Amino acid sequence: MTQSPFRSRPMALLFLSPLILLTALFFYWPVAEAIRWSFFLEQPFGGESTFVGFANFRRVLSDPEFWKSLKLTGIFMVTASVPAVLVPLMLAMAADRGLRTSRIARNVLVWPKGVAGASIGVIFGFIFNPFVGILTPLNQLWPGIWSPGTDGVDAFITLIVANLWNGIPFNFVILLAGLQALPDTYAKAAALDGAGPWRQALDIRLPLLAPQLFFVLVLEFTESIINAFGLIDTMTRGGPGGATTLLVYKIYADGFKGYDLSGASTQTVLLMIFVLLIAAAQFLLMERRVKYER
Amino acid sequence: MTLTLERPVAAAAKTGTDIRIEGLAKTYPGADSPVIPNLTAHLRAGEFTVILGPSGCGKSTLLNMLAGLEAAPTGRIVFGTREVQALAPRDRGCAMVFQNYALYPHMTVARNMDYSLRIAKVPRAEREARVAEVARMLELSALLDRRPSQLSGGQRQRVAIGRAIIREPQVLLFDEPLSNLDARLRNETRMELAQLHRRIGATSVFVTHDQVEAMTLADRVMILNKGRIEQFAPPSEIYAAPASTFVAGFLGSPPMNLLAVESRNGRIRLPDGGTIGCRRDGMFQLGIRPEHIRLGAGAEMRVQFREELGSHSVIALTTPDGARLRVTAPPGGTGDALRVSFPQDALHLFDAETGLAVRELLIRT
Ligand SMILES: Nc1ncnc2c1ncn2[C@@H]1O[C@H](COP(=O)(O)OP(=O)(O)O)[C@@H](O)[C@H]1O
Ligand SMILES: [Mg+2]
Repeated sequence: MTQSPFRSRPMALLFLSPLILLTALFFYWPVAEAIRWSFFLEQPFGGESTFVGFANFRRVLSDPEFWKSLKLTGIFMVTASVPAVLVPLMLAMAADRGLRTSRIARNVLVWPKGVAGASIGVIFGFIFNPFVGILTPLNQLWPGIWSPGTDGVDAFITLIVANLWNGIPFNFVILLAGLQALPDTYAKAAALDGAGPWRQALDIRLPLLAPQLFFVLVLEFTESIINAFGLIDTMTRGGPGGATTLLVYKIYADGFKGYDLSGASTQTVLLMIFVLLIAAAQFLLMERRVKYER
Repeated sequence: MTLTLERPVAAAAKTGTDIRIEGLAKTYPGADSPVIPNLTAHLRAGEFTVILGPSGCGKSTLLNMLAGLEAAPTGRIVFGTREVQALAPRDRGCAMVFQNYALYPHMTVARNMDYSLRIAKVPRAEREARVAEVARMLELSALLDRRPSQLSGGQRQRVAIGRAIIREPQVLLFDEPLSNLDARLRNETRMELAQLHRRIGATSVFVTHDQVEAMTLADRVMILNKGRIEQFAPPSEIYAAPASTFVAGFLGSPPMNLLAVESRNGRIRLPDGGTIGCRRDGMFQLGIRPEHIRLGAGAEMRVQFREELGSHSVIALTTPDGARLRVTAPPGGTGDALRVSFPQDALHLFDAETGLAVRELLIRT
């Protein structure tokens, strides 16, 4: 057991109170409200609301648009998270072999994590613009090959790349720290056992990195679902033709553009359940395997 | 642990190779002085060499250079007829036991031991046979499916040894493998290692800072001081004729007494009142082991303190010159003063400036 740095509980609570207050105000309270609203029929411009039981849920669950956006959310979660973990993993493994120190580099690298999704969206919207962006030459060679404005797949790719760029720094730093924390005697023992760099990476470093990999994967899965909003809102606005209308964006569109507050709240609750299930499944499937004692 | 073997596990290692180290030097990047300035030595095939020296003297560096884990930019390392200093670790045929064992935490005992065989693409049947044999030899058969975290320190140590010998290496390297064990286990494992070495016959290099390990295990001890060889000789010779004050002061418990003396007109006055002839005048260090000092006759010296060790006691005396002199005595003595004398044939002489032994200058009568 480690000794608590605070001598008294009230003291600890005092220091935590701003965070608790913020979390309560901007997280728990809205969550409670969303759950409450999902059982009421809300008037778009205020006024009486009536308790309707599970009617909202029945309505949303029988709407094919909901299922389509949930499917897109699932696809985005996997196709965006996997590269956002794999690319930093490769970078970290490469960096671990060369750069053993350089704190400055690590600090600079983590900065993109501090950039809001919306800002990233604006930048990448420009980069991937079919007329002035970096892929413009492609269109000159093969007209129409790159067209995120009209092609759903292209639009989806822009989202994945923007999400990847956003995820690299943090995941890179976590994975690199995990690699650098491995005692180098494992690598020495493996070298003497005859393992070359590739086998060392696959047989020794990767399995020993499992706790950090698991951590970034769980975070990336849940975050990609939420973080996508800022990217979609600035880059594709859910289009073309609903191809990038993930559930987070649909909730926003239904609630604030379609004035269907009850429907939006219900979908919010369903999205929360979805995220919860994904996280729970990850813990159930993987956590037992990644635990090992040094 | 009983070491019963129908056939030696390391048939190939019977041809353990000799190791020639020529002009080896090493300076770590950023360091202003070399860890190893210039080292030349020849380790015979099948020999058990112990590298002994204080912490930080470059023992691990030397061992890692033999293994290929540390670059050897200057000098040559030759295993048998192969020059290896530029080869990768896996092309050298060394195996190593590390101080902290370095067992792969995510692999079972069996996997830890046969990992090198898998890499070498040894067929499964042979792998299993070899694991079974090594496990039986090291009494690990019941533990093959455990993870390292489920083993005691002594068991981990044996897995580490098993992992090293399973490949039947020509060269076996040990970096302070016993220092994480408790005293009793260390004694046991030490004896087992000696037996094991005799059975497998690989050329072994064992690094330690523990003189008991060095004296009991070694065919020859290489005493290292700041990356230089002070003496490279069998344990008995190191004890009987230390080549320098460093060696004299490092070995023995308590170590040899070293007293500053002056030779004038061909004679050195000894602290016990006697004199001994010397072929050269000047300043010297006179050495005598505590256990060689004779009690009951000679000069009387005051007792500073006594340490009772059960089997014997160690008594610190003050010489007439004010220096400290340790003697060993039968246990349980009392009294404020003791009479001591120095037998002539137990005396060692070292040059005061270089610290090197100049035993031949003494004229014993
Ligand atoms: N990787 C390294 N980089 C720089 N200096 C090192 C490195 N490894 C060891 N040293 C230094 O080299 C000297 C010898 O180290 P080492 O060979 O580990 O000694 P020993 O094993 O005898 O205790 C020490 O002063 C140590 O600080
Ligand atoms: Mg060392």
